[in-house]
Amino acid sequence: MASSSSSSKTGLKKMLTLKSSDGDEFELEESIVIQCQTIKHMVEDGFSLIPLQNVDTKTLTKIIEYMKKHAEKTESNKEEIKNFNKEFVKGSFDDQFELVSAANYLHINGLMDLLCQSIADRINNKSVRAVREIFNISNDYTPDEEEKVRDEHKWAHEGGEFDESLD
Amino acid sequence: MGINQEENLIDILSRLPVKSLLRFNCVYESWKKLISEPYFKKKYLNHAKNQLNEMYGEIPLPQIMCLLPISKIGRDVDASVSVLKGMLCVYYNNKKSFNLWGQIIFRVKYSTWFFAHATPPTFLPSSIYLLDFH
Repeated sequence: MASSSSSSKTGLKKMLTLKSSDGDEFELEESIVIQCQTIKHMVEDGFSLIPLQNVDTKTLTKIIEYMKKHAEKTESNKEEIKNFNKEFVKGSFDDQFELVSAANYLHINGLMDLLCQSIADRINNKSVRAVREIFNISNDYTPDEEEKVRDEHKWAHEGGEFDESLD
Repeated sequence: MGINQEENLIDILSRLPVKSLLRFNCVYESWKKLISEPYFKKKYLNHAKNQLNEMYGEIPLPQIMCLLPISKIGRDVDASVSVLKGMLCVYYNNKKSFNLWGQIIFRVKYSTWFFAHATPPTFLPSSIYLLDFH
């Protein structure tokens, strides 16, 4: 028999357990989880219980939902995936930020793209003040400094009202 | 880890159109610094390229794009500028494309430029330069 470094083909689906920072465990098929580069590498190193200290249960649940859906991706359900993605990015900014941090940590590139583009689209037309609130940043410019920075690219502040809402 | 971790922030901000990006210079001093970093510009350009790819699919991209300081575009340079998904694109010495692009192309004026929301062009010029936004 030709030897292979891959695991034996028993026909059984190999299962993995992900453990959130809250201690909750989720059992998933390996084929779903390896979309995530960080976990893929751990699987290659022989781990089957994977502790994710930077990802809480709420965030991990969402991430698993994403990975499960995207594991079903074929040529014929593109529209379905698109609609799923659309719904997926509808949460609050804080939730989306949590997901970005987790997606970055887990190296799920498709999810990173989806989230960052969606956040960029959502803040695109926001006012400076709204963006500060959304990102939880306190203004570190003095009024004079801010005026100066504004004057450097005046045209960027012109052209109608900017959105002050925080959602 | 938070969203303000630089890496994540760069990934979000580098997808913004030029106009919003420059407006957000005012948000926070460290954002302004971040936006002016060479690394950020490189990332920005990559996203711009991806956007072009999405728009034009399999059509080969024009020759390498580069960030071009606006100061380099002199009063008399025969160049055109237009807006492509919020990106500023300059076309050099290309009368033909100037005509074909019609109303969405504008003559570059010294140290200033026009900005308009336009529909994407239906053909690609031989070269595209993205304006540096500083």
